[in-house]
Amino acid sequence: MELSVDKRPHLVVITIVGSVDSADSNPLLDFFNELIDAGHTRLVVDLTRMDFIVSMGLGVFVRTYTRLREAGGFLRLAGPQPLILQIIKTTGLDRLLAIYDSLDQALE
Amino acid sequence: MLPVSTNQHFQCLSISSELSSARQVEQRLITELRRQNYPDDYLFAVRLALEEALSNAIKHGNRLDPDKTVTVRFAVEPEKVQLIVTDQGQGFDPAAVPDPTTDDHLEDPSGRGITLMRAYMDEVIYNSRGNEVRMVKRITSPQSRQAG
Repeated sequence: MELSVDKRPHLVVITIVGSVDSADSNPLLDFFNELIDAGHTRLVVDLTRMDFIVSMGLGVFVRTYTRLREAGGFLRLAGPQPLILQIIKTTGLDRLLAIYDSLDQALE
Repeated sequence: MLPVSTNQHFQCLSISSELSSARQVEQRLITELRRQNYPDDYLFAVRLALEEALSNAIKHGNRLDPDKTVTVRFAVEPEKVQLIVTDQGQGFDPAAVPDPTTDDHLEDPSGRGITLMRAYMDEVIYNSRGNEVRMVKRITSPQSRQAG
């Protein structure tokens, strides 16, 4: 898992590249929490180059979504590959999380 | 990661109760699947199910106890893959795990692993104690492997 951050005027774009496995999940949660603690509550996560995720990783998105909602912000997931979207739908999280087909759409 | 034994069908490995240990088993299994020309979507499904079973065994079964290990047995056959993951914990009742796709549990931070294992594998069977899961994924036709 590789992470990068692009802080823009009104939101932050986080790009996840590669796999998010169980061992990556706690560091990913820490990463999101540090951003939120620093006052960033409008997060767009670019998933276009993420090729694998496990349930613990999905749990990180749920925790982050919940925290951002309580803070009056948002979490947007952008451009998941078909196999990733299938995992999200299998767990029903497409009914909870805001998922966009592309990064451009998530930034509109 | 310690190789425990190998018989005609199953490779057997023992790993420590750390989440990062799962990667070693995954790599070994994926290498074997690639060697036998299983398609990428099949690899994806088996890797996911193995990760979920291992993380459950390490985190919930052995509770990250460094004195406990997880045993993984797998067999890659021409028509199917079999995985058996065993931990040294007290076991659990998989029927007691709530459906994470219901509205009441959609915001739960965890509890989705078994749902994914069942969705991506053809068989997911726990032993009566609940500390061992056996999973099978079949391939519908040998030709489909050539396409991958």
